[in-house]
Amino acid sequence: MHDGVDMEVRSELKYTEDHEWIAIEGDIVTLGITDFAQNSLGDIVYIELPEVGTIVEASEAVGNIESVKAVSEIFSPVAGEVIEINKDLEEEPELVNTSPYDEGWMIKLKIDPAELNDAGLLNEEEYVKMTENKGS
Amino acid sequence: MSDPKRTPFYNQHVEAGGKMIDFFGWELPVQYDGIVAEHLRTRNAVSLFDVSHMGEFSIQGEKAVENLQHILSNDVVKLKIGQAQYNFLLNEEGCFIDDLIAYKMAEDCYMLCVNASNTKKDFTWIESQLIQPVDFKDISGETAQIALQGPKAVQVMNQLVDTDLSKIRYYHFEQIERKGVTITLAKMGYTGSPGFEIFCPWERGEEIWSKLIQAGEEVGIAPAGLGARDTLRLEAGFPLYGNDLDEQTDPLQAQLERFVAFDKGDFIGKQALVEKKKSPLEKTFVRFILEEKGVPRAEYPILDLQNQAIIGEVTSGNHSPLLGKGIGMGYVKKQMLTNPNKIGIKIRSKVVPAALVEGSFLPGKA
Repeated sequence: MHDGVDMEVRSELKYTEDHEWIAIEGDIVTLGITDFAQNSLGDIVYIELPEVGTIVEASEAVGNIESVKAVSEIFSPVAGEVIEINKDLEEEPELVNTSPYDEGWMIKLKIDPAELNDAGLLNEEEYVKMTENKGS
Repeated sequence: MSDPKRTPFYNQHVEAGGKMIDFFGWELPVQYDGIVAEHLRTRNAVSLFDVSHMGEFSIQGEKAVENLQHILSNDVVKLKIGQAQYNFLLNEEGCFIDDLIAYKMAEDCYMLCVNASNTKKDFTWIESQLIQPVDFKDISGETAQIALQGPKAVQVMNQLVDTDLSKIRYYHFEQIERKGVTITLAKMGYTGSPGFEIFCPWERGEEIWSKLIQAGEEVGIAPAGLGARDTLRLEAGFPLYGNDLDEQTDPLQAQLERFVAFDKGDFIGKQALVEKKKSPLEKTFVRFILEEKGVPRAEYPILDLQNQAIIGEVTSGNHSPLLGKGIGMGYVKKQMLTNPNKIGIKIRSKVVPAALVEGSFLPGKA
């Protein structure tokens, strides 16, 4: 059972205060939720993702995660266009619980890389520290 | 704010990996390996629940029955020794103060098991309504309670007691003596799966829990938390005080009139309900199952599908692990319902159609 100490984080990713991770490759970012987040949410039963082509604003709610405990919003830290969503999550939402950083990826966005600087992103260390302090 | 209280099984919960939360002043596990896993294990094998946070009162003496008939909705006179009965504590408006189970332990000797969230409220209320002389005590602090629920429950229990368990009928109980300790074994539960609710002295709780875990090992027994307890009772169609029942709701609206004995003498709330019966219901309790993806939750609006008018509100809802669909319960103004079989649940910006169902969501149950 996770106790906050052995939550998985990955050094190559960036994180948000809302417990999302993003992988940056030029002007394409991939977004998902962290191991800490999936553990807090418990069993995930549905994931509502935006349609491909949707234009999203920074800090806007782009989707919802329904778990047995509660419903939680998915936020994008940066503005962009949704170019791909993970269709596997339609039939297997539990992939977010079992593989939050790999098979549980959620959205791919086309962005303006310059906007990443103002996005308030945290690195691995900063994110781990945040989870230890908040414990939320 | 004082620290939350601990039940006899606190250490065992932590050792088993329980995620502890503060539940109405009690430190209890919301889950262990996962709500869905614990839920399905209960339906397919057997689970153990710590329900020691519930309140227990004892009421004894020649006037015990007179008092119970006065404060409770159901007809307590019908109880035989070793029998339990679902009851309500109603206020003068005929609305729910609590729902509870009454047990006839011996002649002129009864036990009431009330919701943990209402223990103080119920005690104060009953105390203020007592017709003396009668011996009324709060025995919650001395009474631990474990629920053993699932199709394998009888098999597990058989290993620990000599009693012929098939003799204990539903909503009946036996008091069993083991090594100088009396435990009350009641054939009932709040999950919709067969099983027992076991009452024992507080200080023997830890030992009994261990014995049950040991006895159930071969059938895959494991503890289940508050999260699974809620999804299980929801699937069984059982109301929860605070969600589905409250002080603004009465048994007529809640479709629980069969637990109100209008043919017994006077009782608190009777007159108000007799009056209310003369008019149509302001709201009616319904159970529903979503026809599309979604999770209905308390406070979500209920709409009429045809005209989108808001006709009520969800009071309990969640994903049903067994059915793989969203299920829920709530109240609607039936007069406003265009289609008697369908409603709409407003989940954020979407109106999800739902079919009304009667009774339990479980297959093969009334």
